[in-house]
Amino acid sequence: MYSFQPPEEEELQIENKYLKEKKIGEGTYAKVYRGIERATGRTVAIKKIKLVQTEIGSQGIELSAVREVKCLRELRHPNVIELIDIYSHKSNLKLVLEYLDSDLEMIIKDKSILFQAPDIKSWMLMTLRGLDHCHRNWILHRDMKPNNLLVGKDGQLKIADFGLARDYGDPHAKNMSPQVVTRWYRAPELFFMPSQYGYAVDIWSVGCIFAELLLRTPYLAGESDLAQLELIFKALGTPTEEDWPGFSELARDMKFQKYSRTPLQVHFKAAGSDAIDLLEKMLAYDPNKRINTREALLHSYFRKLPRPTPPDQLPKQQKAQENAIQQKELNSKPPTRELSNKRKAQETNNKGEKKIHCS
Amino acid sequence: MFMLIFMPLFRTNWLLSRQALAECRKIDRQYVTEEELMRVNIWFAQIITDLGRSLQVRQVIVATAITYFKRFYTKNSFRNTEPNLVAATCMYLACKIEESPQHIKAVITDMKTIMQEKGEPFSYDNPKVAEMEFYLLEELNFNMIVYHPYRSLMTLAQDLGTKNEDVHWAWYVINDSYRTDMCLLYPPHVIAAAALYLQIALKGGAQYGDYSLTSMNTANNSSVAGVTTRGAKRGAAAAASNNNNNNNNINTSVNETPKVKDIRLWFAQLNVDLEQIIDIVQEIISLYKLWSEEDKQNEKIRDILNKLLK
Repeated sequence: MYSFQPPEEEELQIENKYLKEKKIGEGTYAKVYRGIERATGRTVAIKKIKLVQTEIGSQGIELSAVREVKCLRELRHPNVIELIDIYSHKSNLKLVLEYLDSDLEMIIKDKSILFQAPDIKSWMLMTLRGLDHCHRNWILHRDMKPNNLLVGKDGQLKIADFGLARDYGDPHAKNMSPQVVTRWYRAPELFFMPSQYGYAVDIWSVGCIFAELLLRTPYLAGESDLAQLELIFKALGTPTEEDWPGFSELARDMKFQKYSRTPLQVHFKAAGSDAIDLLEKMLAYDPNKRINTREALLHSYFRKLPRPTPPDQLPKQQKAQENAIQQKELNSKPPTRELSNKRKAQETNNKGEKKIHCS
Repeated sequence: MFMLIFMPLFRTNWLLSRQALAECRKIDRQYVTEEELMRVNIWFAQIITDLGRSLQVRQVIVATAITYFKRFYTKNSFRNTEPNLVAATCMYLACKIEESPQHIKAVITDMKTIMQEKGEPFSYDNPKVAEMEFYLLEELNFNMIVYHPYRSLMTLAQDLGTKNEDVHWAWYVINDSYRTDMCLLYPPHVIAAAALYLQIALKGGAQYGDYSLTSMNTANNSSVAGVTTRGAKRGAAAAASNNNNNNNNINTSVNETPKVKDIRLWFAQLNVDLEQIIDIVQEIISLYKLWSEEDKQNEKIRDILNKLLK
């Protein structure tokens, strides 16, 4: 009585639109290929999503894949990765995404590149514009970090990896997981296991990215959740009830050493007063007082000279390791899991530098 | 003048005109009448609601699942598909999308129980639902985020200054609106305004001596139907005269009680077409009529389904 006729013809048309070149990465739920859009010659990334097979059989499409599609379908902005096409074939789902060959983490790490103040302003501007677009469309990214900010050949920065993103339309949503955002970029309120939080968590992450751009090393690179919180308090002072109303209630069962607040200017000597002011507002303890994307974009930092560098004149890597990026996007792990060994090694390496900035 | 900001990115591509909707249902209409199709829609909305209740999910998830179901059937006919499978898959996907994922087994088990109670077997297993999810996504054009009137209702109610317990009324009306085609025809904020309007029409009714309202506490569907019908009709008339008042001379309503005048002004200033509100109100009233008959004629739906699906 019933037979489903998937629109095969349409699929073939889409297949014919793109030329698959080579596999550039594989993750738990997807394979990524580099391809070319036949009509325009533009390079694209084709992400082939597999069905999840568990011991009890098929579970349908993986949640992070669903999240990614769900969110990207709602977004279109020069600073957000574009979902160009999407089609299903047999039991595979294929996403055609923009292809970008670099990311901000690679750029920060490449010590042969020199950053000027206008460059940092330009990256911050693009990040905040993209994030503003997400927030205005009720989408929380929940995994903002340099690694997820892709950079194209034209210098445009684009927010990618919406595998943890969710829509934040329902202000009464009470089932939100606090296990989000890679630890170093995780806002302090998330460590207190809230079931409800908001756009401010993304802003905190952007604050950490801002600091990282200024320091050229991760700002708050904690080794465990508790150490992370300790590190935040050490850097920004242990919050008082005034800084963060309700904090003493949150931290009732925990003992924290009382650190006093050192002015940010001490650690960020090269930064101008506007930059410091913006950074301070992004790293405000009270999520309700933390600056939002709108206010941040209107902040005097962006209105005063020097002007941000035009994207195409931004410093870029000499030889971008083209495979690395899409692969990383795939491998980005849910933050609850342990960091990979490679990361751990980096973390240890960073310890020395950390001391300089945080003691 | 106040400006209310509604969903900045509400996708209009899922809103249809009545003509377009009729066109979508051409195949099914060969087998059943328009009214019978309405009953079928009520029936499946009920199944999805029951499934949601059984899985203990939030109302928003039920609303999303029903919206998926309705959108799916703007592109497919009941005749050529298996609506029970579609309904279960809609619920499974909606849970995922609304960030309360349910186990696929749980959805299927609960669906089986529900269908058994209704005297129909549900004989699909995991792979079938998982496969259906693909088709569903495709038919939804991968637009998975659905905006509902609930949030607009809270914004509107706050602006109007209504009491919280009153808003519950409008909330129930919105729940019920998912049994109609309203979510395919009108954007959520208009439906919210219509629900609020129905509630105010009821309140107005109480002021003018319609005491049946005061005895209403909980959402007992049949009595909701009765009261709503009476109140809303009166309200619809009031809205019509309100329109005239505004066109001719706004001062003619000075002898009204200040509260009522406020509400009229408020609706007049609302950036929403009153014609649309009246259309929604009317549609919901006819839903309640049909629905209350449903209780008596449970057998009838079987005949209709047999006609439609065989």
